[in-house]
Amino acid sequence: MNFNRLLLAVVLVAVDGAAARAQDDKIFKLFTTEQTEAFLQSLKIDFKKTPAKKDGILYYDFQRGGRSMRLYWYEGKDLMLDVVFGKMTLEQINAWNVRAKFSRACLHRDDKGEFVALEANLDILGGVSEGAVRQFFNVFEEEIKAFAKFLGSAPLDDDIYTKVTKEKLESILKALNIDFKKVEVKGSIVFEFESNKHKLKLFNFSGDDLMIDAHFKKLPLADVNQYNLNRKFIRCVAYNINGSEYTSLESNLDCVGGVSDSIVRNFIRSFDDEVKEFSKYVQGK
Amino acid sequence: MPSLRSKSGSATSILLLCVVGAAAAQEKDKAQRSVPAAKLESILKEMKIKYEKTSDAKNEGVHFYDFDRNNFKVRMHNYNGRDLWLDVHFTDKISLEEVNQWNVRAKFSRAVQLNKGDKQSTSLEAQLDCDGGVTDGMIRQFILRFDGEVKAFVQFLTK
Repeated sequence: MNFNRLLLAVVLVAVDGAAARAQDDKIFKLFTTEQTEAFLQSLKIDFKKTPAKKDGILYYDFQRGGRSMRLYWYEGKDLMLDVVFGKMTLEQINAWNVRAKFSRACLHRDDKGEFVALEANLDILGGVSEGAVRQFFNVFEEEIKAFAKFLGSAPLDDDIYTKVTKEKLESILKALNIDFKKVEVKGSIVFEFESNKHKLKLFNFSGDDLMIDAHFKKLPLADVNQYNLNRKFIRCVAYNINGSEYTSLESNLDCVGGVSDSIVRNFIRSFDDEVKEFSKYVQGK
Repeated sequence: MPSLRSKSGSATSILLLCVVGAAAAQEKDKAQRSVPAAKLESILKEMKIKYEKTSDAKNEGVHFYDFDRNNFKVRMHNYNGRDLWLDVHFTDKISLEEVNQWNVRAKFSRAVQLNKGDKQSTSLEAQLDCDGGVTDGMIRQFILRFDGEVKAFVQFLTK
């Protein structure tokens, strides 16, 4: 690169930087849906937009840093970000809220049980720049990392057991508000229930290990293998049982090393997400 | 229900061995929400596993532990303490039908065919989700169980 080209490049970078700064410095008192979506696209965020039941509220769901994140849009007047974590004690939640500056943790309950949301809000009405919204996102990502670290250092207040009795499994399913049917197959207990319009089966192999599965239409082996290549914690398998061909999505939990209620709950709940993801994959085939 | 029968049968052979290993440290075990590198390394050392550690230069908090188990080169991946991954790669030519046959009978692993250019290999792998909680016993059991899966996979390939 000769000197003139270098100079031109420097000037272009400076102009570009100044334009970006000017954009960052422009003050908004309402953040429209168009601005919100353009902003998310500028961060290369691939989002799914859903209207809330209440008018004027939108949800933008996306993946960020390996976690599912939601942006709540309240009539352009304020924004909220949240990420969901597993259940914690109220003491742990409070300990986080005492030390946190830019987020708060809350215990919530839905039809599947209790969970913790890490949340942050940005008030737009007083006037904010795009740079401030960007900073809101950046800071929240740092808060998530710090929160995950905080959680990692906090032991779960759970009893550890190496055999999952059918009574224990039933109590966990009931606590998750799962309406199940119990079937005995060759000496093993199978719990059948529905999730996201899919029939799931939870097998308890003598209390030593659990398996959960859902059945889907037949897929070519190459597609089955491709799915295994791209996902963790599950196994996608093609079956042909007496001429009946289908694809099974499966996950196992080895309990012999010691598990707790929260570990078993997480095993069951996280399979819901796996089923949702796999449904999308199957529909695209 | 053939899948139930075959899958329950595949793990029984190593179950007793695993129970003995896991029960030893059971009493004081606690569920943690993540596995810091130091914790994982102490478990590996306690299991007398000599490993070589490398870190992913592009992804902070991602570490790899390479070690030999029963003459196989095993890699353990630690993804920011949120999940652990074990794998062994086989360079044998294994068809997708065979890969699937293994997955039909497997409980604690899966086989995946990998294609890089004209090179084909198969990964036998297992993952442990730590986000919802994990105990030291589960991590030990994860390693011991995978030993059994590798052994069974080799038998499956050679028969």
